[in-house]
Amino acid sequence: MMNIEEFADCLDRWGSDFEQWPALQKDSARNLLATSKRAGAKRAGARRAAEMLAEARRLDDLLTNLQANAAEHRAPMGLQRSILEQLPPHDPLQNALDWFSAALWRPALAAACTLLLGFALGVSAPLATDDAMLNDVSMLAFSTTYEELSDADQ
Amino acid sequence: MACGPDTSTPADTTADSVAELSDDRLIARVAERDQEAFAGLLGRHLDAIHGYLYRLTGSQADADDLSQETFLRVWQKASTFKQGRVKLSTWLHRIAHNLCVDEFRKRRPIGEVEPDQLAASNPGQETGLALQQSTAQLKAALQGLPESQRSALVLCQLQGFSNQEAAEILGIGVRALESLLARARRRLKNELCEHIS
Repeated sequence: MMNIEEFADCLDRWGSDFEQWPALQKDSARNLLATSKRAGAKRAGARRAAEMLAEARRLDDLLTNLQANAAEHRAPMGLQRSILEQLPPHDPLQNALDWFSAALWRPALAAACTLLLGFALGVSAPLATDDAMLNDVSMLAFSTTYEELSDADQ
Repeated sequence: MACGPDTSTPADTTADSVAELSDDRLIARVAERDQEAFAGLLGRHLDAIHGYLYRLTGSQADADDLSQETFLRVWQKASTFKQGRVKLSTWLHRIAHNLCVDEFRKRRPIGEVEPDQLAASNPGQETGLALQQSTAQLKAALQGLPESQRSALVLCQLQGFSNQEAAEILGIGVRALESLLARARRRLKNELCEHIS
């Protein structure tokens, strides 16, 4: 069951029109008000809920009135022309740059990062500096049979 | 095959076609540097953007400047608009909002508004002195809200955006937006208690 503080918070969050509320809160609020009606004026909490709803409705009415004014708002005469006059002249080079910056920068950045990563890994990989290992590798390269390798070992 | 003379001029045809274009097609043509399309876009959205900026800044001059900056930014960045991801009006409001916040940061407080200045902006709309006074006080209280709360309330209550769209414009989550709205309403109720109690 919704309490009076939760009801107040919901009113602040979604306004006085229950249709704008999520279903769960809407049902709880309706239950709260219905319970309040049944309990009559005896419960202070019940009266407070009804008062809060009335206050929220009056605030919404004021906001709706303001919205009607806002809908009729017009930009000053001449502002549109002023904006159009400020448009930069047609520049194909700039267009190409804009297109590149809009369409290609992500793939280009991804390719550059991959290249850098590959280069960094290649440079930072440890070099084989063990002489014995180098000898073994050399043997493998220049010896053709197992016997030769065995002789070399001895 | 039609063989009668075509009486419409090329300019008429362009104007007509621009007026009939969807927002997505319009911005695509703006991205191709089509000035006719840009003029059509201005005709369709300038009032709303100017109104939003005026409600945020409380200053006609600031709203003019920021509107100009917003649409020049749109001209430059039209190719970055991702069709289908957000509505064009959401994208435009987001640009306007970001420019406005930048301006707030540069010179705080921007356009200190006098309560009467906004109240007189649409004379003759309200009926009754009491309503007029309440509306004037609401406008003044709106300007007294912190910028983030004011933006949230203006977008949802005055510009007609859904919570989801307003959250996208502000670059926050829906729950964060609802918290902003709740704090804004609580503050307005406190400031307007004599009018709404």
